[in-house]
Amino acid sequence: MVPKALMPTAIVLMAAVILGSCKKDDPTPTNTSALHFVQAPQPPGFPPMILPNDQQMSEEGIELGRQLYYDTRLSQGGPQQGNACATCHNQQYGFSSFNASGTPIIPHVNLGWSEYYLWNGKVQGDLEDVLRFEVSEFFQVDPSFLETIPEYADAFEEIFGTSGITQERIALVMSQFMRSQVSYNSKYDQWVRGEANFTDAEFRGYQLFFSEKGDCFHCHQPPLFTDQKFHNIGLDSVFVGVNQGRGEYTGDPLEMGTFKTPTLRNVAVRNPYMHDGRFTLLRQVLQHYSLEVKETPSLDPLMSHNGTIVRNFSQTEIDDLIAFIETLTDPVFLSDSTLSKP
Amino acid sequence: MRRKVFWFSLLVPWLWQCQKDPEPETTNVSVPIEWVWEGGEFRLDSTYVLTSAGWEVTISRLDFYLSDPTCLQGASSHTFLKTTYHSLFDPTTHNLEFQFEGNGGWVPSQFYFGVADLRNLTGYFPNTKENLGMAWPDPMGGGYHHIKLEGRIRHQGKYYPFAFHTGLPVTAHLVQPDPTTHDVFHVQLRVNIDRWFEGLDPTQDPLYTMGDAPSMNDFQDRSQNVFSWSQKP
Repeated sequence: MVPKALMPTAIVLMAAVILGSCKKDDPTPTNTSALHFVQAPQPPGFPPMILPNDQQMSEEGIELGRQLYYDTRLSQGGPQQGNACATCHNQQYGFSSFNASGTPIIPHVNLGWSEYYLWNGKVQGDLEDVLRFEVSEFFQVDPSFLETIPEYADAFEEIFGTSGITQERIALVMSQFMRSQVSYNSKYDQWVRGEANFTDAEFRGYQLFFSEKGDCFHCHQPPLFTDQKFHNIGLDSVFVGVNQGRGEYTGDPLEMGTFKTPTLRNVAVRNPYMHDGRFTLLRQVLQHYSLEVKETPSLDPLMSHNGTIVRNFSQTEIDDLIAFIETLTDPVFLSDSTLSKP
Repeated sequence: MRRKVFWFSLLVPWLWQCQKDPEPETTNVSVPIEWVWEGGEFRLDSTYVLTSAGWEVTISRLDFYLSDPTCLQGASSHTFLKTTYHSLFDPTTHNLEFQFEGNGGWVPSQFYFGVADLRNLTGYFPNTKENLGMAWPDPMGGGYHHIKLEGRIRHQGKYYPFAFHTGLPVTAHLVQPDPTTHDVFHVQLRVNIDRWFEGLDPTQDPLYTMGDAPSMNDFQDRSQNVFSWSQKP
């Protein structure tokens, strides 16, 4: 029995129970911090960018990621001491390099759509996963050192709500910045949008690129100009050392000599080419496809057209292909101040 | 009595507030795809598997679209105007999804192999990674591939890479798999990969179909024998 005096209270309590039982999930984020959340980039025609459910991009996170990308203190005490990401991934070369020796630098562009990383795809997952690898294994970042830098300590606390810098947190903010490294304003993109015209040579190159003779499009599919898959394009007859490609990692004989298709976006402003940098000119790359493909059991099926593995391009066709490939250079991306050194 | 009235007066609005609007009855059906290789145990790695024709095959890619499945219920039929993407290497695509209004009693009948012609236009499908990977370049006619089947045949010590792609100008082919008396709840779609290689001589026949409408048509024809309905185990 409910005493009369307590009746109003009982009614209020019951009402609260009733309303609570019928309440829908509240879609409003409970995070009341001052972060300015932003959507992942989504250029027209591109597939949805890969973004883990628990990862949110914010202006503050992107900015902190950018600072770390350019900061050589990131590598303090590690095997890459004195280097930052930007040391090798130079913006003017499409976040890659030009005329550098050693393993060609994979460009940091449109990696928000990637599921495999490095030439042999050894690291698989999303951007967070590859940055966990870069932070913990490649750079071996010492978070305790970064904590001694007040601006970093403050910035991490602002973004994560609690103090402390960890390798995980570093990977998370750097992946936010790298999701913003998006190229979609090349002359080709403008032509697709009806904002620019091709020259005759560029248009002939475009037609050849998307033809069975040129046959570039099967692996270098627009809009990313990579199919994100692994192919043996007939560079070698014998596979040793780095030339084993993904086969070295998987042990699969049919993956010997296979490498992840690199994007062709901004390819004309970076070099050298191929996984081992054997070519320094685009013309040499096209000469390879024209006459130098080597037949092996793991040669990609797309490289053999009913037993024919040569394309036999004329010099004019090579010139036209280069003219088209150069339309994939994105001057907006190469000079975007929001991606430049802070 | 007053106490009962009190509790009752609280209960009624609560029940009223939580009551859901009645929704039309729909039935979701998922017909699993069973991948079959007649010549031996099929494997997704690069192991070569013997075909019934006598040579060994390994597959590196098998992606295709199916369109407009039709189901029968007595004398009436219903065609689901949709195109679905399926990939041997992507288990999330190993089902044919239907949604009925009402319930039960439908028997699966036929479908088109490939993208239905009216939908085979550049940009028709969302720009997912899968659809972009199946795009047929505009300078070559636009739209989408019906299938991409790639791999290698090994025969008498020689290797024969194959890339069976079909797309425009070849149209989607109507496939009428073996009739079945099983309804959609108890049936699976069997894809007998071996049949795509039936009657094929890798030493003589085209193994790269792109740009070759007759060989694309031959391949589409062989697809008639690939599909069948079977009872779920």
